[in-house]
Amino acid sequence: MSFALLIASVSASAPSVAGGEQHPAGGRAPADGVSLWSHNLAVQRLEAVRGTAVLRTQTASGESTRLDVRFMAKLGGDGWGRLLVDRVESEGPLYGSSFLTLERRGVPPSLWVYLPGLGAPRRVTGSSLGDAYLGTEFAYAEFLQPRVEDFDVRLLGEDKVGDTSCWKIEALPKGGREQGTGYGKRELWIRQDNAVERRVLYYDPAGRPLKVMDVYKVVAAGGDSKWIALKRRMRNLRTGQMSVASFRAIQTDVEIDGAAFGPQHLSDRLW
Amino acid sequence: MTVDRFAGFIVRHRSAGVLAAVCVAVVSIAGAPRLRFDFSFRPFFLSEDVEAPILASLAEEFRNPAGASLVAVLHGEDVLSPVSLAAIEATSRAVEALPHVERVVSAATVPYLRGDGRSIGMETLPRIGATDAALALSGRPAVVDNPLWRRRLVSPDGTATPVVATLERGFEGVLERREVIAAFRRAVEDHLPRGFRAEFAGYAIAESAYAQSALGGMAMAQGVATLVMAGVLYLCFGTLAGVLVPLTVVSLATLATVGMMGFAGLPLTFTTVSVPLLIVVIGVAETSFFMACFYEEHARGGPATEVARRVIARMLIPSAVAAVTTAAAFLSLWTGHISLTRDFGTAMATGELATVAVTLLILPAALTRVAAGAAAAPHGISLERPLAALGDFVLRRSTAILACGAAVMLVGILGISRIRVEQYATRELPAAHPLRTAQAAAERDLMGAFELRVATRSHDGGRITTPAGLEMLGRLQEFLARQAGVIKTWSVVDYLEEVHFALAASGPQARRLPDEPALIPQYLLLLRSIGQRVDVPELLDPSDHWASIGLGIADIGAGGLERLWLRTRSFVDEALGGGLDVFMLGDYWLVTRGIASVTRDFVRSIAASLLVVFLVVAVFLGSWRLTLLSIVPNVIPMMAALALMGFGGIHLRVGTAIMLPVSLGIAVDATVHYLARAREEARLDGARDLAAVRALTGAGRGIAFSGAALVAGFACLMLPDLRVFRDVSLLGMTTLGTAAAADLVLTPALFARFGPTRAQGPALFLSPSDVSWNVSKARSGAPQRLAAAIHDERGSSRGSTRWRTAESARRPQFGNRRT
Repeated sequence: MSFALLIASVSASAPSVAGGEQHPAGGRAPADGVSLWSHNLAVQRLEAVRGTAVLRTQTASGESTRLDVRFMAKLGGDGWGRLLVDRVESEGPLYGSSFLTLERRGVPPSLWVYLPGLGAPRRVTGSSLGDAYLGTEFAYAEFLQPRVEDFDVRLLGEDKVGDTSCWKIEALPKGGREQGTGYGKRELWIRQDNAVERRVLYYDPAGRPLKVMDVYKVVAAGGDSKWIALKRRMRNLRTGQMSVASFRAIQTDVEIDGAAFGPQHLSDRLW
Repeated sequence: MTVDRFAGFIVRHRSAGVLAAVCVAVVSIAGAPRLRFDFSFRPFFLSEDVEAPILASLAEEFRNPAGASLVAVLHGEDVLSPVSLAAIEATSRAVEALPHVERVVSAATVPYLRGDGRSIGMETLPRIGATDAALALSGRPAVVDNPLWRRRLVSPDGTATPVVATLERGFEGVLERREVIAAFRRAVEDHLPRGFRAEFAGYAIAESAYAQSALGGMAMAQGVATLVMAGVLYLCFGTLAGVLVPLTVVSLATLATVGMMGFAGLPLTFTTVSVPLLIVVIGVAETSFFMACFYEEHARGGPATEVARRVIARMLIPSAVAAVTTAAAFLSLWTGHISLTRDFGTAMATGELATVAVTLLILPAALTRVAAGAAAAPHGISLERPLAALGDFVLRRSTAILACGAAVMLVGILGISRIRVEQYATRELPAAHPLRTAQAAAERDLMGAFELRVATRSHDGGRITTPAGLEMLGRLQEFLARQAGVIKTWSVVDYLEEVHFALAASGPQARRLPDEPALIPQYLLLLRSIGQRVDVPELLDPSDHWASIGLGIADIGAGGLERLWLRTRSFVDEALGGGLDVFMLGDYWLVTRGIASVTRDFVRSIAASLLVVFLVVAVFLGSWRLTLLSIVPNVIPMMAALALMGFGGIHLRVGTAIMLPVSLGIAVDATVHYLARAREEARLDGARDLAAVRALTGAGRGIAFSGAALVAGFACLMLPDLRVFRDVSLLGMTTLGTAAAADLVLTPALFARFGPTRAQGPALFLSPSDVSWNVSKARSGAPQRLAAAIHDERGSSRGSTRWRTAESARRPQFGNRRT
């Protein structure tokens, strides 16, 4: 559905870097957590993106699955919403299954699904951003950039993840839990060299660690100091299940027709 | 070092003994806080279960759905009304926020799948009610008839619904969970809509209820047992010292045992919780022999230290033998495969040996002090005349007595065939217990309080999500749904049918699997995309090779579950052609596997107990004839207990299975005391019948009082509000009461008929040289005059003994001993 947002998140809110000092890349101390997180989001924000991804999920007992996906995403015409479409490319009965997510201001996200066996797209109501993405440990919401203004953000200081120097921030949802996902808190380790997150730790509403996402293979995306993470690993700390998303053939400087994000196009394979 | 010199040594260093006892007490007090509680059902599991790795792996795969849970059953006029659903949603949120709660399943958290062929809805009912009031009202019949909801999330009449909180894995322990359980109750009760009521059940709450009943009941029983023992001791000895000294010994022995359990990491469980009480009861019975001996020796006179030395010298070996036989009986429980029984055996064997050790540390000083004081001869209940009359009866009715013994054996053998092996989850609690009331409601209105899984895979190793695999899965589910005790079943087949019903099908026969095979993986992809909110991950593994069928069951017991399992295996082999491999998952099943070993463990432990106990007895008595004689009066109580179990409906289970081998070790002590005494009596003139009666009047008092103490002590196990303790109490009273009766009646009759006329072997510990009964008068008269003759012989020297150590026989005698 929204893979594009994960590797190069699409967001219209695009807040400017706040605070008196420049972004933390280069090791200078950030002004505060809000500016740091805002910059983290800004360096990964793209207007349109498409590519392919491989999703691997491994259970605690060692069973594993693989799903190949093609995706594209772009900002909506209103400058706020996000349009996302994913199609399963794995050979077999799932081939061609497609998911479309339309996010608009003021209404819950709309999800359409195309299952080749049914022959026509169906609307899915009541879906949640906290739902698992294609059966993986990733949730839909983790492919979307959060809105910083919905959180109380605090800079916790410097920390290291492996050999990577990071700034650590804590983001508490203002309503006690994040809308859609139900997370009670997230902690981010943001790299000091390129401001991309190195690790995100998600908590449940009771304050217990729930999932941890590690980010690898960060590469530059076009100009304007944009970055893309080509590999993300999400581990469920309760079940031990783990999913890895590996991105390939990423295109960022592309023109994507907004009309392609219609349910009627889920069945055709024009992209 | 001879026994006598050792006795002299510990009497001389009695102050050091007291000091050592104090040190033991201090160390034990330090160890007691380390004692941990484990009132979970896990100690019921089979140790070294060969299937444990695969069962654990499958439980992990399916997220251990049948693990610890807290269940609130909400009752109201309409649990699906918007007001009710809003309250359930608020309850769910509050419970979700509790520490250690991993997941909450309720009518407000699980998406309700619905569709019209063009769309599929996955909202929760409160969300549906908020956005579509008309649908909320009209959808109620559909909800209660939905296969995924009916009985799982709502009762068929819409008046009951559960809120289930699954606790984190690894969060175990009754004490640790106490706060969470209390918070769960508060969270539910604080959000109850008006007119609603809540009942609480679930695995974790059942464990907690058991723990409360066991701990509270045993604490009360411990106090009552101590008072009862004090009363028995007073009746026996009639002095304050006769009460205080044994109670001090057993109290310190109990403390030492508890401290040892703390240091050794032996947890307090459903079985070991009774250890302190049993140590008191058994310890009092054994220590009372010392006190009886003390009063006999005190009556003979002499310096206080000499009295104490003589007591120790006389009692050391018999008490050590008694301790060894009892400890051996407890250690025979090591042959079992359940940690509950093994831990109990270890703790009790330690307690038994601790009792002897503490006795030797404290008694020299205590007896010296008592002897130096104003301790007079005991004035407890006298049994001389009744015992004399009993001896007379034994000689006259020995054939009838032996026939009665044979009859008991026969009834016991008949009873064995009627004994059932069974262990219920909550039926140990009283029927009116709130947990059982809630459980009954859950069984009546919902899916029952217990959840199991049947894990399956295709026998050929392929995916189970093929049409053929799903068909077999569906047939197996239908079969399970028809079985007795199974209230609800569900599987991924239900989800697939429901999605197909929502997206593509219509009409009354619409709930079915799609004809198009490719749709199955596509539906599964859709279902998995709503991830955690439905339990598909608990029903199908990500690779589609393993599936599980959920079972909501009543408390059908381990035997019922075992039978269900055998029927299931049979169905798979015969109806499905062995096309599926099946495994049962869940703690109830693991308990069942443990209980399945109870019969085998029971036989093993009895065999081990018989072997070890009678080997020790043989060494002590030094006579195979006497050893064989000792077996009969100790097997008969076991047969009486088996008859009680068979005809009285007492199931063989963890608590009752340990009672018989253990009671053998306790009961044999009195037999040994009697036979040793009888043999020495027989050495006088070779007359077995008179020796039998003289031994009865000599040792009978101790046998009667120790038997009374044991029966009264085991009666205290009636106090805890758990059926298993009551059954153990009944069995204990039956076994030990019968054993005492057998030693007072049957053993003398056996000795009179089959006992040796002369010493059959070396007198290891007893000397007849100074036994000086004037029996000639008695022998010359008729049997009925025997009792009176013996009574005349004893005269006023109540308590003087004929049973003395060889060493003491060579020493100058004091006091009123007659020659």
